[in-house]
Amino acid sequence: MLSIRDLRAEVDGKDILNGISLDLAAGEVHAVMGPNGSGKSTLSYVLAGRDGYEVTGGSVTYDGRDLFGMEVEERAVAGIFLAFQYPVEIPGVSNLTFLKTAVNAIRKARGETELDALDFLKLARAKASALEMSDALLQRAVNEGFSGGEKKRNEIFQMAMLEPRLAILDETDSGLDIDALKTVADGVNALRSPDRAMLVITHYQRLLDYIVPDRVHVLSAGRIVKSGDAGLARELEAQGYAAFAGETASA
Amino acid sequence: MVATIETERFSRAFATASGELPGHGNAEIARLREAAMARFASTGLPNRRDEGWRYTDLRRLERLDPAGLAGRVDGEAAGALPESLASLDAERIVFVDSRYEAALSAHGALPKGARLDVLSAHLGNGCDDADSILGPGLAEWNGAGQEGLAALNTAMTRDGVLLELPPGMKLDRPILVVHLLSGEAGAIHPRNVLRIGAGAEAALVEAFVGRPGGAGWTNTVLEGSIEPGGRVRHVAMIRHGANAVHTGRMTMEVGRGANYAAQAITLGGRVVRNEFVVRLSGPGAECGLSGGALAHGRRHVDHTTEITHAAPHTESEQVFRNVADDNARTVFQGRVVVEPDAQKTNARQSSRSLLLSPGAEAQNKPELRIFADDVKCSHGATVGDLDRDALFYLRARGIDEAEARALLTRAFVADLLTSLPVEAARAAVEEAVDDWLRRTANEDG
Repeated sequence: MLSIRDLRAEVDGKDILNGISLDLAAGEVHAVMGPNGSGKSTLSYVLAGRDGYEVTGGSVTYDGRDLFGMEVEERAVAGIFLAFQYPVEIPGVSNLTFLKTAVNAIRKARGETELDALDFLKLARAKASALEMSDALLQRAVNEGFSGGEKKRNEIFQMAMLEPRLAILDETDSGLDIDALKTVADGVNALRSPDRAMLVITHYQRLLDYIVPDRVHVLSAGRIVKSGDAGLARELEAQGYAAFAGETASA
Repeated sequence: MVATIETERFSRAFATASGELPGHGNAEIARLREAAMARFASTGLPNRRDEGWRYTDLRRLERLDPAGLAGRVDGEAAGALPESLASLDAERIVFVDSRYEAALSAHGALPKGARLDVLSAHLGNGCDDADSILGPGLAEWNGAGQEGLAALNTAMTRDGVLLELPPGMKLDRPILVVHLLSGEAGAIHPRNVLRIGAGAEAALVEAFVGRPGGAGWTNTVLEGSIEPGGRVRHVAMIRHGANAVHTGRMTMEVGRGANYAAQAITLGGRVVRNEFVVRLSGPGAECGLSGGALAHGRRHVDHTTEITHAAPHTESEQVFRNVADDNARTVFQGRVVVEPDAQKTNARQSSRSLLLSPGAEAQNKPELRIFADDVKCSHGATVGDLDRDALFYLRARGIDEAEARALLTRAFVADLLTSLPVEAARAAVEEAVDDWLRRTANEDG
């Protein structure tokens, strides 16, 4: 589904990604782990298409299409979803209005009929209650005044509503206490399916106790220095990132 | 000031029109109009050398033809009323080219003791209170002691409404006054007068509407007073054609414990200047002003306010939001004057401007003149563009860029919809905002 080949990118003229290659098939969950500054978030933003992240080499294909030929919203409509590390507050736009616009934009692009207000509300309430999100939270402005945990839950709620084919979770665990972490992980696990792929980006192994990945990649200085199965995450936790810093992608 | 060629044109237009203006047979009315014309001739049109007009240029008015200045609007037959105004739940009075249009109006009898008159009729029928309608009232008052446009309105006005409520009367339904300009050109000088008795309450919606590509000039005055404990809620919507000029001066004298809540929202017109002049003249008087513009193309929209705290324990709050796209310019000038007696005044002001393109401009000019020592006055002004992070966030959820920008722009003006003083006007205002957000770019330059 997603094929990354020798991807290089820079931010403000500084090389951040230095040749990443990774293949993610439908139904798989891969984790990307790495210390601060290793390029984890840059990878997620490059895939989502954020301004200011300049691709300087390599390629990414998504379902056979050149990802970099697609606008930000085209990627989303094609099924790519980024759960933000820092969800953006948007005063004046209610969570429900925002999400209804997004759901219908995506449905329209897929040739499906748009949901009317009532059907949308039913669906939203059902999905929100699974994530223990109150009605009040749905009515409020997008992420405005939300706690860290509420913001992250809101990301997973959006993911549940938009039903992406490729979900990229950027440090979804950061800032969560253990109960919130479990709720969020349950929400993510409920979305695992044979048609859906996930890229779980995290600093800590903790999240991977709940969302068990098929593959783990260790990122260091913009390169994947080691790949392995779920056991690699525990190995990292025991040894620290420093032990992997010198290894190469072929390791 | 010596009469310029410009004021001479207006004087000639007045001479042409004076024999047919409402009340022309009434010596007192004729005298008041002559006096007003003389005041206008001595000041002329405001120009950019005047401190309060530094940002707004009325030279476009030079293009109006003399017949138009005299009020002969060469319009089409009375057009249809915009649906959102036709369905607004209110007593509706419609003027087309400053002439009362019964066919488009729909108003029933008000409770006994209240008066809702069409001004042309009122001035024509043995009018005995002309001085309070056409005298140099608050509209001609300002700090500099001159207000030519209001004087010109007094001289030339043909129509509008007079609403008078006796003490204690509270109207159930708002009064909707629509001024349509049907022609390509021409000038109208609508005048609405409110006299609200002690403890009485009224809601007024004024709508100024022109044809989509229409030019012409609307120079309007609202003269109002609220006796102690009374309350007025007021919305003025300006939806003119792309080449129209609009100058409006909305004035209110607010008595002891009385309350005035008003919003002016501008969604059309080439050059628009809306002024609020409010005098909080009794202890405990309050006013809340809000407004702003959604402007694109080469439009220029100026909202200028002057609130005078003339008594102790008075309160004012101002919320202005301006959006400028393409090469549009918006202006907000907010002056708060606190007179020496007005101790314990509380005045707040917030103005924010959103620039949607590199060619757009916004001016924010708060001005506090405080002559009392025990007061609380605050103001905040910002100018910015759309939040790039928010834009990316919306697009990353599949919302295309145009729609994402529209959502964020609507969010920016949400404060205006929140503080809309007349609930019945909500659908009309929201529709106007949504129409603007959906406009085809630059359709009328």
